[in-house]
Amino acid sequence: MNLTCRKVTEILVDFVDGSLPEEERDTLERHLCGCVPCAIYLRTYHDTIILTKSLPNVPLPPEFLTRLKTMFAKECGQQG
Amino acid sequence: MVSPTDEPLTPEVVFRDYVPRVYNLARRMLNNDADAEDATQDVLLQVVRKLDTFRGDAAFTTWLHRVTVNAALAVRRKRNRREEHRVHDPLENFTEEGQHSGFVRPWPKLPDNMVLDSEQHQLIEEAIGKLPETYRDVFVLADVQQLPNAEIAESLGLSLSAVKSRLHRARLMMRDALSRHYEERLS
Repeated sequence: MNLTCRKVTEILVDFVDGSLPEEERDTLERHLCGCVPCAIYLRTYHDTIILTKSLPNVPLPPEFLTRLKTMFAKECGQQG
Repeated sequence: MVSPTDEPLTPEVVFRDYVPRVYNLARRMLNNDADAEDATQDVLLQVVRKLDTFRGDAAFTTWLHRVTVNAALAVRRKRNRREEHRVHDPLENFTEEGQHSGFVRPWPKLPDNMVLDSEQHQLIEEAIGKLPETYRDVFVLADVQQLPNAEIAESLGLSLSAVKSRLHRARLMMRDALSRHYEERLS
């Protein structure tokens, strides 16, 4: 079975999360060995996941944090 | 992401471990600071009511994510402001025969322990903000918050296959958006 580059792109999500059936995975790996653009595409797809995963949380704006803490304390008091 | 702890949910624990996560999830889903503040406030009110019934464990974290998603979706509905950006479909970048229609250029090698500088941080946040909402919600929950697909499916009322399909499409759009920056860095 031959895969087109488009088909390779379509099944990358299953390849990356390890859910691609063995036969299809073998076919895809053979395609990647002979297709430089798809090999680069896979690497940059993977890099996209790594970069996103590295995204830090931004701190809450100080004014909002103060407001939130005041509201929280007040609500907790009412609950208690 | 901060691992769930087994500490009692004191106000200090809530503000240290959970509020930043709630605010950032809402902010990325809504792409608007003021809307994120409204959603965070709604979530906090619900947390107050549950404070005595939960510990800071996995069950609380799962519940909190779901409540945050619902709060963000409610704010979005209330605002009724759709700002859909036109995003090119990456699966159109192929010839009729299914080959890449243009050059696929490499990016510089990423370091093993990736720490984003402020330029990269801003670039990724902007690219997320430009994703159509349908794809953005799944992408933020899966690739930023690192939630399992099953939990995302339940939160958004989607099938597992719909989650994977949207996540994949979002990653392709993100890859295209980031390519413009990273390809330049190499050239």
